[in-house]
Amino acid sequence: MKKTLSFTLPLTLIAMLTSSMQMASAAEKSYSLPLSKPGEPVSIDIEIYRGSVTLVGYKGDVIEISAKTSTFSGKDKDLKKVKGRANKNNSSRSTEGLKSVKSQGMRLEIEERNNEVEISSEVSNQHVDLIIKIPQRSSLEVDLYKGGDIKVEGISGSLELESYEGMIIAKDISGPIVAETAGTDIVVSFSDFTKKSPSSLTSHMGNVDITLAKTIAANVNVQTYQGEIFSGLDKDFTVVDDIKKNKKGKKQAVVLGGLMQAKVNGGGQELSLISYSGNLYIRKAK
Amino acid sequence: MTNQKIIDWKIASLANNDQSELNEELQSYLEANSELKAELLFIEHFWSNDVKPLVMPSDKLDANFYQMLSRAQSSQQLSTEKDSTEKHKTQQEPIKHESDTRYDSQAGQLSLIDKVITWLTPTPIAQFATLALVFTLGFNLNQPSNNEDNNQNYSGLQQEVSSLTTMLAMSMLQKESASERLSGVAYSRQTDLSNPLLVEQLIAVLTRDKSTSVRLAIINGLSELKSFGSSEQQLFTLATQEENLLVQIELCRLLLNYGSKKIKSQLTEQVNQQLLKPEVREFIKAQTMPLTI
Repeated sequence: MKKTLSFTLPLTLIAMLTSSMQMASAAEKSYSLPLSKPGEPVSIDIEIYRGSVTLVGYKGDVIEISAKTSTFSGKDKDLKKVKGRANKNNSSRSTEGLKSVKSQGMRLEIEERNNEVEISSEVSNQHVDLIIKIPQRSSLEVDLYKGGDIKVEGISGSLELESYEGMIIAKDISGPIVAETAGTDIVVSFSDFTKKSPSSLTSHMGNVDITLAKTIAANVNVQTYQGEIFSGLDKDFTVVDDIKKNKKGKKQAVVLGGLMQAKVNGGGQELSLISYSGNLYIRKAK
Repeated sequence: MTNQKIIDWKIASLANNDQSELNEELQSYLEANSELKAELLFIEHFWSNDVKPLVMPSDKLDANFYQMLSRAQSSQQLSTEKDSTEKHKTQQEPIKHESDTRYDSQAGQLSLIDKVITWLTPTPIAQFATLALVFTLGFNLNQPSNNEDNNQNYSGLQQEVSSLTTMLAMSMLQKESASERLSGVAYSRQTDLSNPLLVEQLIAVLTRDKSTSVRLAIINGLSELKSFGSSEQQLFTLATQEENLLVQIELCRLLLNYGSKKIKSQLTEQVNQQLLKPEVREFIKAQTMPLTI
């Protein structure tokens, strides 16, 4: 994680959750994390190697974490590499007279300092499903490399979401949001749209599907190379002509095409939807 | 005829010319004819009003009446003479006329409205002063030296705004949040990208930023550059080594549209090599294909 938090301050909380429950296939644990500065801005940084993340906003100052872990037993290229190396190194060790003990512990790290919360699980053979209740005003940064989806609902703070294999689904948000997926879809419904900063949704090979509340004013930019664009907006998309003029009269360049834009409700902050081969869907809320 | 006889009798009776009474026959006829009776009553009433003796004015009243008439006539005559005198004065002193008459009529007391009207009343001196003022202002405003000053001030102000925007952009580009970095790119587009430090920072962020959205926004913003200069080769290297398909395509688009002939040529040569992704090679082919109509 890019953010480095100090472990020395008294308010820093490190929760290493090791489940004592012996379960055949999964471990579950809940944890309540009161904020050290109630009422003040909250930033939450989550990095999960494998699993899914669901974040729900509520009016409160305690972060309620519910985690369910299980051992990943599926096929995974990265996992094979790790196992292959391990087996190779330990091939000469004898296991005679020993029985195999399956690891059923949960490893999830939670840190908090001055309302900056960091939650991480970087164990490659552990699948973690997180359901977290967070203050509505929270700003989020979520990275999920493998497994399921990132789901966010009812958050008014800024969102920075990245999912490499799963979808990104965000409901009832106001942005700004910067989201990116590799080959999966991004589905976002805006109940409002902030004027603070631009928003951008990029899916390299997946679709981008947004729904805008009727009153939202925004400059919606769309760009897809091999996909199609479907719009339910009243405003038409027009090509943004890129005109570069040299005042000295040496060179002028006019580039037509590439980016298209629709000024919704008179226009406002930028909201860009980009995909290489996916479709772009722009819907208006009923 | 009977009616007329009776009416004649009545008139004669009223005029004291006939004191006799009607005979029984005419009296009974009159009693039987109500209309004639009403007519006679009307004649009697009319006669009595008409013949009322007029009250003649006494000698004293006559004397008073003629005194009043005489005073009125003399007053009218004086007024006529005064008017003619004033008209004469007005012709000689037209400027003084109004104020003098007002002073005369209101015993030297001017109301506020009168003062305002007096102030607003254009006089030749005031007219001249106004014209001189307008001329002076117009002359001064059109002086070339002042224009230059204004232009310099305006230019200086623009530079200050541009510097502040540049600082803001550079600050925002360093932020941890991708959305804020996007704001930084948006601010940089509000400048003319004449600050080399800003361009340097934009290319640095383009090289290392983990957000594709931010990188694409920077590439889009770099099209505002008048010339890539020394950054052109750096952008070309980045384009050929980039692993992100969207970023690679947009870098190629940037260089093909705004790069030098040399860079365009180098990029076109890359189509035949394996450094670029197949999608990008197809893109370059499509971009460089001559249009056929």
